[in-house]
Amino acid sequence: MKVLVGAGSCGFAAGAHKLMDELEAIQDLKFDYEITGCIGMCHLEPIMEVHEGGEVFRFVKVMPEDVKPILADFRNYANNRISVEDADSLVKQPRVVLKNCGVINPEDIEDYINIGGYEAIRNCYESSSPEAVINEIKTSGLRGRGGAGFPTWFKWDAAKKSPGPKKYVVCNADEGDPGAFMDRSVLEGDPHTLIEGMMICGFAIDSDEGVVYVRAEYPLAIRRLEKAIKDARARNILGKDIFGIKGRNFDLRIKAGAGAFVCGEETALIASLEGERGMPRLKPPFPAQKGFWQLPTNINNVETFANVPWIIRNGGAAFAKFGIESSKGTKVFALTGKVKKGGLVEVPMGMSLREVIYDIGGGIVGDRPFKAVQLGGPSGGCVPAQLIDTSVDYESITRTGAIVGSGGMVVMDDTTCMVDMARFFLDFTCKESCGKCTYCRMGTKRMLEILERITNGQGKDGDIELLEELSYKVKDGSLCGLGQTAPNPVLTTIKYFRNEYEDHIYNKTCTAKQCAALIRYEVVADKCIGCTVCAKACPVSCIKGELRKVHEIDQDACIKCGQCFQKCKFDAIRVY
Amino acid sequence: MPYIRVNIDGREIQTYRGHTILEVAAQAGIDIPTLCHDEKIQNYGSCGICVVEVEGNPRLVRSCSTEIMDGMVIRTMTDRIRESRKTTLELLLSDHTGDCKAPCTHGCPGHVDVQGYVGLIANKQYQEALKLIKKELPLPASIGRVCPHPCQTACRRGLVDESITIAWLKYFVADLDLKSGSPYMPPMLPDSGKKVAIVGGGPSGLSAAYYLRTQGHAVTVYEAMPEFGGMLKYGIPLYRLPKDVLKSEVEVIRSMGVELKPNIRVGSDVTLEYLREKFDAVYIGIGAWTSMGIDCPGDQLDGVIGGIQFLTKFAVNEPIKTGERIAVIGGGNTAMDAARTAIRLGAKEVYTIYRRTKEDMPAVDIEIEEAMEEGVVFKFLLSPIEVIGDENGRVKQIRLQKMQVVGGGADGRKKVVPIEGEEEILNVDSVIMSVGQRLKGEGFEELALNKHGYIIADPETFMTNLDGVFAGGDATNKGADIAIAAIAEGKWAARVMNTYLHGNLKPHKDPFYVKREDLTSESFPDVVRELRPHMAHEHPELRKHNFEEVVKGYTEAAAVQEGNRCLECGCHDYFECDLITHSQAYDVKPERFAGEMHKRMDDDDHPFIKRDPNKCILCGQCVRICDEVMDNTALGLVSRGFDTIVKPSMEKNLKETECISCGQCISVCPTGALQERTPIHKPVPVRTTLTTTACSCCSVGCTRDLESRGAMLLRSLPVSGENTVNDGLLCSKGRFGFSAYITENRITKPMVRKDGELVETTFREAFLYAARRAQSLHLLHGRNSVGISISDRYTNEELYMAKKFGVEVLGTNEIFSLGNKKSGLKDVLPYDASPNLLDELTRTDVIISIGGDMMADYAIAALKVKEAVGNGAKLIHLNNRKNKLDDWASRTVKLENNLEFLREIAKYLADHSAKAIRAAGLEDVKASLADVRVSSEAAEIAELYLNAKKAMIVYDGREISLEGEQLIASLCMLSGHIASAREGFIKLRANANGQGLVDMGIDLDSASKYAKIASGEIKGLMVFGEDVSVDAVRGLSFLMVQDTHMTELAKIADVVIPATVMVESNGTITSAERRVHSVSAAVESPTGLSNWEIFKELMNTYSTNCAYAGHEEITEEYSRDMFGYVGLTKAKAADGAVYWPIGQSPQLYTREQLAAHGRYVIPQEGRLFDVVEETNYLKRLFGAFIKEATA
Repeated sequence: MKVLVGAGSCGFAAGAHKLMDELEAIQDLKFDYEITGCIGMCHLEPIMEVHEGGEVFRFVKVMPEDVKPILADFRNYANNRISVEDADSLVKQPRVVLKNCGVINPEDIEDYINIGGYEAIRNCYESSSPEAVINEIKTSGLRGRGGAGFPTWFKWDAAKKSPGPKKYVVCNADEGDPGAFMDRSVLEGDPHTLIEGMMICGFAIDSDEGVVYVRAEYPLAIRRLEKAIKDARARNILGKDIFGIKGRNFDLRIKAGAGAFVCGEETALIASLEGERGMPRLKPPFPAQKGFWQLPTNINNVETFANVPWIIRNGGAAFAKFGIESSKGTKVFALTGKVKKGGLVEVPMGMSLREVIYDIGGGIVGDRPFKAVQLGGPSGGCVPAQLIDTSVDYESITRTGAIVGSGGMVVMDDTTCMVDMARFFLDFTCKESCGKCTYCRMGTKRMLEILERITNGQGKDGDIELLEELSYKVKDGSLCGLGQTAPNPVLTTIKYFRNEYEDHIYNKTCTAKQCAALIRYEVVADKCIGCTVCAKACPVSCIKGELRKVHEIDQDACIKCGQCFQKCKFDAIRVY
Repeated sequence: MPYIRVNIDGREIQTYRGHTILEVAAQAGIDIPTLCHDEKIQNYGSCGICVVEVEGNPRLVRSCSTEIMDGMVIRTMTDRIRESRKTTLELLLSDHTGDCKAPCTHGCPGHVDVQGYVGLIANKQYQEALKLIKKELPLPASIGRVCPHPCQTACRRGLVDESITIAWLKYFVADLDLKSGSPYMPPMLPDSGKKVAIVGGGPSGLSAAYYLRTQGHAVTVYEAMPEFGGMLKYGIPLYRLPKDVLKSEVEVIRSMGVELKPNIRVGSDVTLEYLREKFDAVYIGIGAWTSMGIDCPGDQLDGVIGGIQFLTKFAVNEPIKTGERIAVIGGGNTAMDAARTAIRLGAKEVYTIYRRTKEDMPAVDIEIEEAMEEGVVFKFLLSPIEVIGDENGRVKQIRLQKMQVVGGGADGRKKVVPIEGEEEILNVDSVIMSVGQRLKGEGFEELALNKHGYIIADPETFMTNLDGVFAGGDATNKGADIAIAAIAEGKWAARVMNTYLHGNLKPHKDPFYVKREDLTSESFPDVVRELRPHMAHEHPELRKHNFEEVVKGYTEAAAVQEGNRCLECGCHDYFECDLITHSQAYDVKPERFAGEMHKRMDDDDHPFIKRDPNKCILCGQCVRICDEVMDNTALGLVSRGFDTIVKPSMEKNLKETECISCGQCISVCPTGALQERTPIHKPVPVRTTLTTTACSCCSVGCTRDLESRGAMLLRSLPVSGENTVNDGLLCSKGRFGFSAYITENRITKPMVRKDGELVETTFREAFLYAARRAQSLHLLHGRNSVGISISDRYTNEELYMAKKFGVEVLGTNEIFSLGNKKSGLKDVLPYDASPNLLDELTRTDVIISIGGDMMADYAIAALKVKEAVGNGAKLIHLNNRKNKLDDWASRTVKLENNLEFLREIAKYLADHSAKAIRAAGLEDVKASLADVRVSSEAAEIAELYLNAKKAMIVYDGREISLEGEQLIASLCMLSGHIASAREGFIKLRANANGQGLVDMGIDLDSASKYAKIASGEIKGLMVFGEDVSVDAVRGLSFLMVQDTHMTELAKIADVVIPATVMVESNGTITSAERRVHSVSAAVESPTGLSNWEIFKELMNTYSTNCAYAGHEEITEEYSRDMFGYVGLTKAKAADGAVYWPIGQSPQLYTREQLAAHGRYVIPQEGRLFDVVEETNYLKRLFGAFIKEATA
């Protein structure tokens, strides 16, 4: 018998450590107990699995007190058992990137080796050529999973062909999109796959040194990757003469980034690696020509590298079977927002948004109407309900005005104000702008101010047009991807929800009833029973009323915090 | 194919690979704006205004960083580009706080540069101030007296205590000019062949005439009245504007060649049609000469007169009977003039009746105040409703309606309404209606009028409905306004008319300016409260009986004091600001992006660099040039996004960082965010004159532009270009070491010791005295008993003259420089000179730097070493102390103060070199190094040096001893690294003309001279520019000192002569790389005599016939036969650098020459480093200033 505990950051956040303490405390361990990474169903953590005789029994939302009962009778224990529906949604996900996450013990190199790990790089070293590897990647159709979707083989090929006394393989693990955590999951759940992917890249472009640029906010990921590197070195999988093969050298180190969003941009990342202020540099020259220390450098993100060992092992053609012609393989999405089952999902390219949101994500919380989904984080855009059948692939998503990006997928229902949503994302990019170029530094700030005044009820005629003008100019005139994509949330919301902007500006109303300046709370007289709950909840004491008498809100004093609305059990507070 | 072809804006351009679009466009003369790019630093691409379109690329590309490719088709100006640039500028401006121009200038309808002239007055540059005023205002003495000065109303000093009395300052300088006897005449272009007629000789017409005339047009002014000046003459009473003042100003215009024709009324005497036929253009400035009445019963009665009519009648001496009680209706300046004139005419009771309150009166406060002082009775909130006449139809009474204030009207003005039934009746003899003026338009019927009866003139072109007929001033559009408004329109119309006359009509438009309106009285916590200086006034009791001018005008001291109260609101960088230049060109409207603006306090007190983060546009140039070029990180970018800011490192005060005050950051700053703290008394932003000249601060020979205005030296700026050694860079000395410390406390008069005291005298007496003393010593003790010591901060011409004076007049051989010391070079090599050029350092392979602190003392030379290291050269740094070179050096060796290490290197070279020059003494070298044991360190270094393909040594000649120099020269010969390009050494010298001193044959062996002074062999000394130790010269029986300041030495001298500094001198100097640079005076010498003239006069005191007419003649003379300088005048006339010896290879020596004339000298022992006392007082002053300022 083997017991596995989901011990990714999500697992820990949900209390996995208590489970582990409990398991540790069981003196007489008659079973193997191991940790594993995130399986993607973060909303069900802590997850505990019991493996016995080829069967897997998966328990979710396990509390410490559940541990003993489960272990005592895991075959029949009904509580905490994963639902059929949840189990189903896992089945619907063909797994390439996340195949080992939640399956193997990320802190045990043996686990990885046992499932065929490091075989791909060994094969490369023993019987392949850089050209063949690049060709295989080309056949696979793999495109960069970090945001831009640039063909991976092309970058590798460029770096391979750039002359230089030394070359670098850099992994961008500076996952900065709010709500995106696929890279973290891989780092925490399957670090060896990343190492192997980078080694293969090193082999392909003739580099013997790799650097993983991880954001410092990922301590667990850093710890596990550090251990993985150490273990790999100990087994002569990293270092000199790898596997004892003369001249096969590759080593890897970690650089913890200080956590600026812009450092996800490759030139800014390089500047940061070099100890400079994290600011983008002009391209060309591209990193493939002059990158880290002015030497040819290939940069991919974690997810991209994580695909590589699978492709080499199974062949590019097998990978290309997933997905559609223009976008091959699978893509991991961080499904969040008003969706029932949030978490990481890996889906084949070409699946429709409807399938992702309803079949895998289980639909909208409270079965409210689906309004839109924000794809690609702050650099992406929103796709409205009428486009829910859009296929999830690079081209189709781009046509809507959004981007696949790193795979953030924020689902929104009718209670989301689209203007406020645009303001939220722009607030993020505005703060994260490095401040170098005028359009990004000043343009996003002025756009944000316009959005702020619209949501504050001070929008004026011409604001939408000014926003559009600035959006296009910021896209056109910004130096790097951050600024070039920052206006996307604004442009897509104006495109699909212009009426909401107009409502804010001309009618001074917020359709979703989210913008505090444009709404007011009122007591519905025939529903109020005078229970005083609202009055007690009100932080500014602006609700007056005697016990068992209808209450009244002093509109001048009300700060529109919504406490009364949430506390009232009789639907007697209404938002206008 | 080595070249490629691109198409920019339709032009086919052939060029080479590796350039950016911006560079290629610039070469082709196509201007692309940029705010973040400089050739000295790497591409950055932050500002984004250099964007262009490249065919096939959907995005706009940054031309500063996009390399051209063969076949590229580029457009640099399309609507899309223009729009993008415009928005970029608007976004930058939306967080750019400041005032391009001061509020006073904006307040003035004529936009006269008020801050400019007030500041110039504060600096006592009165003529410059006047010139500046007259650029925009041709009648300053008159306007200064009569203008209600909206400039003063706008003056921000008013928020602190009292606004600057701008108008008084204006007429202070204007009066000075008029009284000078030769009033300022503006420069005028040659005759254009175009003729312009001006109708109306008032302020507007006279202005138009003035500015049209400066453009070379023939101008005729037709005036209906007998005299010129219009309302200034006929509408302003004499107690405000004495007639001589106006007349003199009109006279200036007449003497410019403007034809003034009085007593001709166009419309009746000649027709407008006639003028249109005879002239190429016509300007109508006929004013508004009819007083408006109040439409009330009795307004036609005898005794009711218009204000203007009243004043005019008086002005032309027509009899007016107004009686003893007079009511003046109206609250404007004309009403005040009428009332006060009435008082002066003897009226007993003068009432000013105004329908609103005192606060609402349009008249200037001082006018109201003075009228009250003189006894005018003010009656407010009264409106005339009837003039009541007596039986003869003469005014007897006036019936007035009482009014009341009822809150604010829509226009923000208080609203007044009648109080029903409340009236007042006044007994009066006359009623003067002064409530407005109207056009008197007879004879101009062809001109279209507006509904108020004024001539319609286009607000931007001033053209009327008739082609070629322009109009402005009171006669047009909105009607009567103040005189300066009419002047402004006349001026702008003249400028438009000038374009019209050249066939290319260009409308007048106010350019965009950044302004700030957020300042309050709280905004100036550091400004010390100081009221206006006192201005003498005629006492009211006296003045009410006469028409003498009421105010007496400022004294000079008061004017300077008042000028100094100016808060300097306008940006001091306005004339250099790229941001405003582009903003005006792109017609920006930043208010559409109005939003949060940063308000950052700057409490930096760096002695030279003034920072204003609120003007920063984050181009990053300052940060990058500090880092990339100066290898310093005094400035850095802090924070992110909108809050990004440039700050001194570690949030320190800039002067506490490693800032070396080179000012490079200021030079690249495209806005006023970084500025020089100008050394002049009162900083003032004005256009300046540039004088390109060699820097006077050390021997590197940088080229700089000295900015001056009048007698003020404002800034020193680096010059770029292939022909300069510094290529756009300067060090702190060159950038800032010229200023106040030089101008302050200068001695400008000669002094002679009488009865033990130094007393000021004339040059002649001082020279005579000195000559007598020197002569008597000569007679008593022989000719060599008098010595001359001169500093190497003097030009070649001055040195030559000193030598000539010594040899030919005094007959002495003792001509030396006490601030220098004997060189060891000449013991080994033919010349005491660097055989190489500084730029050779950048491409050599190994550099050995010995001693000194290059970055501190010769920064520009040090940067050549840095560049070399960047190019892959190895730097070996041998020194007894650490300095910046250690950062770049691949080897650093700490030396003792002896010759051992160099002797070890010499031994290694002697043992291993195969390329040693076969010169005399080579055979003895090994023997003289027999006892040396070569350390491994010395061996390594010697090996590196020996095996380098190219290698150079660089050292500070002031610091390395005579023996050290002998060794250095011998090392070069031993290694063979000499007599070829990029092989040899550079000897840096402390003062600008150190090499010239050698070349002019001045003896450098100060030690022996001190000995002669001490022993009494030298009994008399004439010291030029050297502040040698007082103790060393105590025994002298005669001492003459020439210097800029009262040095310690000067204090004990028998004769003191004021000296001129290099920024006031003309001539040549020879730098450390033997380059002969021209020196040009940026400002005049405050002493009246330049240094070479002093030598000339000294010589002539001995009845020598020295008759040079200019410094060029001295150059000419020595370039006839002085070794190495032969042909200098001719060589200088051609472009390019000139090196001593003229006409030979820039590198000295050939191997053969050295084999024949060189001689190895290997000293056995001695010091390596000497300590030499600094005798250049100016350097000591600057050093002390820096030390104090950065302490």
